[in-house]
Amino acid sequence: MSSNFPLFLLPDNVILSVIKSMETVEQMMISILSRKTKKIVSSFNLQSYRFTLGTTESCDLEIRCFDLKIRIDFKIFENRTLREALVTEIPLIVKLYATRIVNNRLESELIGWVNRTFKVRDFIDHFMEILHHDRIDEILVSSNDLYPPESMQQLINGLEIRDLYFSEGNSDVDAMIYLNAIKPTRSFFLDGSPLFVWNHTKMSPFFIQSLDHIRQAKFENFFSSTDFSLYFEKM
Amino acid sequence: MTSPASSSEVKYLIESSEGNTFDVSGAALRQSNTFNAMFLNIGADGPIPFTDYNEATLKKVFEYCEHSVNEENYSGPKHQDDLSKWDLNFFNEMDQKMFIDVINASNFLDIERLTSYCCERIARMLRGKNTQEMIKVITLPTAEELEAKQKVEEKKAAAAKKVAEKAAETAEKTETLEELPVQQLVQTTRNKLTRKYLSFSNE
Repeated sequence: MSSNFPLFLLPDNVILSVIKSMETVEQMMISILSRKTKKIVSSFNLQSYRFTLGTTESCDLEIRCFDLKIRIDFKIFENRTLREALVTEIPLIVKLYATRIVNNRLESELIGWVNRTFKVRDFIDHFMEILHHDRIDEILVSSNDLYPPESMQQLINGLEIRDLYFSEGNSDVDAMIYLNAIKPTRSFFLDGSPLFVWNHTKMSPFFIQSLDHIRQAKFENFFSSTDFSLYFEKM
Repeated sequence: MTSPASSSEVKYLIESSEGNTFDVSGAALRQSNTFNAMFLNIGADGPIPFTDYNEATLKKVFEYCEHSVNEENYSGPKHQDDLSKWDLNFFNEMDQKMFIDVINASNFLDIERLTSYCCERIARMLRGKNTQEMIKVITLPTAEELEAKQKVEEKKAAAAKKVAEKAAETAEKTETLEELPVQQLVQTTRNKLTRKYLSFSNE
């Protein structure tokens, strides 16, 4: 049979059945192609429980579904030294890493493509829509970030950000800049001086009061952290 | 007349777009939900008009149905790797045009098993591909092609209406038959059976 196939010329219910018989990652990929495929994939009621946006090494979006973890890596500039790069630019290369458990072991798959159309925010909105997710659960930032905080602020403008994580190396000034740019609604987690929290609770009581908790901890790496004694619960 | 009896020995006449008729066993035809909804309980008086599909396509579809008559009840899509050698040969020997015709006919006749295998086969073409590669494979249609598709779907809706009308007409006749006195009913059935015998003898 020929390698080309006129899928969209088939009846709509057949197109729906074809897309339904695909794996979740393939459904996410095909949903990018057209408004019609996006609508079809949205109707499958796929769910995710966590969206994490990180900008430490590159701009990446991690989506956790119940049986699948997807990391989408947006390469805006090949040269990492371009620190003033704006995360609002159209990424040149998009790499999607899908990890799932098959027969008690992890299996990963990489799908990469050259992107000329969508901005990072378009991808975020797209995946939030097809996965029926209405917030960014976590944002990870560090002083080593590629992108300036204003650019990050623009990227997530209008989205609910639940938790903000400051990773190792942030000074109090960095933390304040990020807190001014990105306002989490639930919590923030920082690796810094306990006095910082104390000082800034006085500076922005309204902001602090709206949080569920503030966590002060020693952040070892992405997977492990050791809590310090300072832990605030919302009163 | 093709009888409404549920025996697998019963044959139904199918009419294709060329106007040709051929017979299909009741057991095979019962895999079509469209047929079940329209003719199963009332039977069909004369050939069933599936005139939107050519003879080759319909024969291919019913070849599949005849083959899967003895298989266990359909319980959702099966992975392509689990398909039997016969199933794989069945799909592999079709060219793309025939494959598309078979999907369309199977979809119209609502034969779940065949439609789902066809869909799974298309999904397989897109496995592990990125968006650009997907676009290359499924070739996004032009506005003219989409318009043509809409016309075809309208035509198919009209064909479905025609089949439904035929079913309604047959149902009406069956009801009329039930109202006839017993002797007259026996005579009418005898006449119809004679006509059917003659038509088969002529073929």
